[in-house]
Amino acid sequence: MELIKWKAYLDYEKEEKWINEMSQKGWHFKKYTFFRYHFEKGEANKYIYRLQMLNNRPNHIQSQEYIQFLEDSGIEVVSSFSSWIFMRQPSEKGPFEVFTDLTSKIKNYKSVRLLIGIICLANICIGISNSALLGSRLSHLGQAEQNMFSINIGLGLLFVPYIYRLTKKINFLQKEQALHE
Amino acid sequence: MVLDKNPLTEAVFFILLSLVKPCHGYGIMQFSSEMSHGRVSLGAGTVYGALNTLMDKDWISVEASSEADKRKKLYVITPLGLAILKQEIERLKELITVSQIVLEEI
Repeated sequence: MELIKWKAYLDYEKEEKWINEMSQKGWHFKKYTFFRYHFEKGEANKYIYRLQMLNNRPNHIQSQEYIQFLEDSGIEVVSSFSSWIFMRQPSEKGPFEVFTDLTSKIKNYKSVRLLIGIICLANICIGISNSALLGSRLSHLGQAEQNMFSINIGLGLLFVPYIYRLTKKINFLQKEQALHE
Repeated sequence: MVLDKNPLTEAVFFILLSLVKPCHGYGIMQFSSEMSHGRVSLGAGTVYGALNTLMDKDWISVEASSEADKRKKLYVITPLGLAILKQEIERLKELITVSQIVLEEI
């Protein structure tokens, strides 16, 4: 039995949490296509899912080596999108975490924050520069077209709370690092 | 001669220890978990990141990929890595000695 859910997530940890909740109910994530999550029915709580942003796209040689490394460890990569991979491990194997020490956790959050930051900034800049450039020439357009550039700015601003949350997490972990590993 | 002034993280310590004999990445994770009786559980992302850093520093090297699959790498400690590991063990022994002096009960 299959199920498709339409969802959009900014925060990959919330996305991960939702996918794991679905797995607990017996719906196991199989594939991601643009905003669509594909599930198949199975026994409840069979898998633990983790998402990870890689440094390169999955077809890059370094990513391929990492994916092979994961599979050797009994971790299955079920889907990917851009430089993100979706992986799972059977629950019976016990707890499953990708990053287990402060150094790697901080590095990961910083990489994610950088990506999100670039997208956020790009959207805001596109929105501002386009509306500024076309300023006077926009008056002949309808209100809808003129509002289009506010969408870019709005989208950019949507990311700001997430960037703030990531920064808080990073700062917290760095404080911990001062004491121990 | 002091090779490296800073203490090693537990993850690095266990990785170096497990690579005294050549090992695949998964073997490193298993070794660490077994030798620490489950206390140290290294994540795949942590280990992979550390392996790359350790290779850059020449503390470990890739021994040989299996003929069948070039992506399956076999890692092993280098002479430099072994020296670093031994130095770290000396540091830990020194910490134990100092604590015994202060606490007397251990």
